[in-house]
Amino acid sequence: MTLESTAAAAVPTLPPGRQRRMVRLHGGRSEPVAIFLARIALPLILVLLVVTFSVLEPETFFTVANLKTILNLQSVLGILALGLIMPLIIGEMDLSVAANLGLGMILVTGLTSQQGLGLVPAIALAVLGCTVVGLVNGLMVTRLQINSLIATLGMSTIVTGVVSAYTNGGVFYADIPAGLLKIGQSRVGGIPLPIVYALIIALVVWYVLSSTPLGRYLYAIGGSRDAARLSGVPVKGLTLLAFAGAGLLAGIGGVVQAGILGSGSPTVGPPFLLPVFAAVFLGATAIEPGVFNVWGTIIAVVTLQVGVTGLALVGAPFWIEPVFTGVALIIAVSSARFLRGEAL
Amino acid sequence: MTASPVELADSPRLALEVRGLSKTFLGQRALDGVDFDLRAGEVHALLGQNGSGKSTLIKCLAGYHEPDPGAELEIAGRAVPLPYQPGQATQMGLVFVHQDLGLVPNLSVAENFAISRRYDARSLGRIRWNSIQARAARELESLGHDIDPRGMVGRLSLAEQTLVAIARALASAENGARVLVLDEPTAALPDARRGASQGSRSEVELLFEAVRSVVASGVGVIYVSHKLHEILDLADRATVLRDGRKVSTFGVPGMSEADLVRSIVGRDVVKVTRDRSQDRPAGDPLLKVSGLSGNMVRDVSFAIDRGEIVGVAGMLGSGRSELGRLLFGAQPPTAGSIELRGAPADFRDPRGAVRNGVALIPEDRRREGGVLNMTVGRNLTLPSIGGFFHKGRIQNAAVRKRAKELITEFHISPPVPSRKFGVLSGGNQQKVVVAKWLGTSPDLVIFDEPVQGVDVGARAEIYQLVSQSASRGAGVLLISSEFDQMLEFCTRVLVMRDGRLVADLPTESITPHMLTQYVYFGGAVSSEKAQAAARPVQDVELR
Repeated sequence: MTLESTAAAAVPTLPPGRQRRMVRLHGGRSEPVAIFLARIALPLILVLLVVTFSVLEPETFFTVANLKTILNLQSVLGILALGLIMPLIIGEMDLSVAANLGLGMILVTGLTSQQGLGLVPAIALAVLGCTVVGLVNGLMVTRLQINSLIATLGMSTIVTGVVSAYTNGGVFYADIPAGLLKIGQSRVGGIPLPIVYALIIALVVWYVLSSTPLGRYLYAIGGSRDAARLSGVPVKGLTLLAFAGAGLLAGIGGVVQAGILGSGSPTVGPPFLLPVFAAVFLGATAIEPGVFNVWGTIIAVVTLQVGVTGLALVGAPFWIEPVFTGVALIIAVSSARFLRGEAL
Repeated sequence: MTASPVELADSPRLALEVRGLSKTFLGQRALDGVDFDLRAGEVHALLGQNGSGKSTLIKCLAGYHEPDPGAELEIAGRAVPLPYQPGQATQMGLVFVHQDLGLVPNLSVAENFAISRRYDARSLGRIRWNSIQARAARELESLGHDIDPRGMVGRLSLAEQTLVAIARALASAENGARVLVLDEPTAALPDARRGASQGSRSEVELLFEAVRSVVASGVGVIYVSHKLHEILDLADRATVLRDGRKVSTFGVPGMSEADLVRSIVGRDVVKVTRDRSQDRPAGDPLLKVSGLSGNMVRDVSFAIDRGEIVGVAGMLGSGRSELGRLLFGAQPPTAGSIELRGAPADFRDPRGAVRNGVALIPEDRRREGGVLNMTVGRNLTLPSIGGFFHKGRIQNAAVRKRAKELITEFHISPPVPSRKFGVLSGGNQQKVVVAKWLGTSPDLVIFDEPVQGVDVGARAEIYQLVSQSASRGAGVLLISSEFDQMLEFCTRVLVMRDGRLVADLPTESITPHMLTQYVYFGGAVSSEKAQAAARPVQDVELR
């Protein structure tokens, strides 16, 4: 996603030394300041929210237990969002990640409780199944040249249907292996495991995107498919890979979610769709504005949950959660565009 | 200057007069006290290198930029208060056609007229298509060309689309247009001096006729173009800007291309010549193409030796660009074989080509040459980034060093690796694209129109780079419509017509004139016909 301003073309060629710091601006703001503000706007909001709620509710909000709760609740969303940024970076949509997460969750609980499979093969099959869903998305986009929005919308619907067929509309809650609960509910040094998974995955994805040629290639494809291809970037292969990566992380997210809940329900996955998109778009306004990036995404996920939890603790009604998420997304994206538009 | 400033003694009616126009961006003067006047009924060329202030001047006139205080503007003798909004410019009779035309391709001509005129109806009133169509037809007719107002814009030729945009711009001024600004209207059109000799009028000639009829109706035209021979054909006067200042205004008739170049760059730019002292001896075969076919290309066979520059000449649509794409693996061949260094080289994708030392500098640099929203440094190292991956990560210090080296070596300005590729001038973007490929030390380099839309100064540098890559021992394929330069640089020229290779000419034995004949007629023609072909091409003959 680029928030490039058309005013960029209007910037005249100036002597290099000056141009580096100064760009045409209204109101005398210089580029680095504006970009810097955009970079840290979301972290600032996060700090502001934490301070506000801590002052309002020192007894409940500002506690380690609450911090863990907040992070734990959103670790699955974080894992899913880290997967989703891969197709988004190359300029493709993936509407199937939420349904795919539901599939992973149902497969791991169903295969163990209904088919009596061992936990490890069940996890492997669940993650593999979700990865295959992602691969098929990629094949539809690269081979059949279907618009990714439509291809993944179709895939999302199909996956939801398959999940309903397998569960027959019910919830798998009996005979869930204890090992699965351990995966979702144990702690290491007091830290809930899902937080650890999300952090490890964030580190891996960040490493791939920032420190390997693969990451450069993905961003290049997102910038210009044609230019990337003519620069020797294997566009088709990496498109497949990005969708498969989204599927893989959706599968892992599904397994973790199953562990947290201790059951498999067909209705848990799909509602992740809007929050996960809110998180990645919100994340693209921070740290590296205008670019889908790992730490921005993580901060966005945490910010959204801090806001929601804080509001709940100060006694806001239940419907405030979606309203807060929507308002935060729109304000963050428009302010980032505003700041960058001024700067470029 | 060879030309003296034109006397205003007989003071013709002025369509536009600007005095003391400055524009400052954060302490940087983009325009510095520019005086400019435009007579009713003249074509006034606005010349200058990229970054000289042409577009800033135009954007000030359009109301897009607010000029610094102190500037004065008169339109048709009436003082206009500054600043004003873009919408007001149109009301005052200043209309603009930009390079991208701003047309909606999947709407009809009449609909394109209507969207800028709010459908000639009250918000909820019925749209009066008949009157809109009649009006569009009338406007187009006055430009001397029949275009069906019901036809879809996307199906028109580029020149016809430009006419639609001009007609629409003129019609948008409700009180009558007084000034028409054309910003690089021919950038996407095939070159004028080659096409004019064809049976049908060339695309550019079509546009020129339209401009002449606009001028005849008393409108003043400000014409911006990098193509100097067009200026010589079309303009009455020219104003040259350099570093935001007006250098001079002079009458165009009687001037030569060399005069214009001198005033634009402020020094003599000799024709780019090739230093052949470093030429390698021929006879070290590199590339052998046999019976190659694609969508347009039919049964093409030729060979290139190391150190050799081979030109490819042909009209737009002759298959010349496709030939480059076939060799680069960007498009699958339907038949034939390619051998590189004696081994088969039928690359399935550009990646294979890059790995085997083939590079393509594509024609459309903004879409295919580089990634606009990535930095110059990342663009420069995109094809070679795999080589910087050591010890589990990209060695950023090494990447930065390499980018800086390339920037210095290829004179890229500004020399800042962190600048976005998309904001560089056309010439510098092209240098980035060339640098990113030559930096990989390729064995075969395919240049597709490397100097299109590049200003005069950068042009010479890019030709030198073409020459250098051959001196380093690469084989070079130079696809170009600049025949005179092609003859200077190439050892042989391949002429393509309708997808076929019709001639393989050693450059010592031919002139640009003959090459033109080959391109348009497929071979040497009778002297009468040849003279007709040469008529709009005086400057080629002079060289």
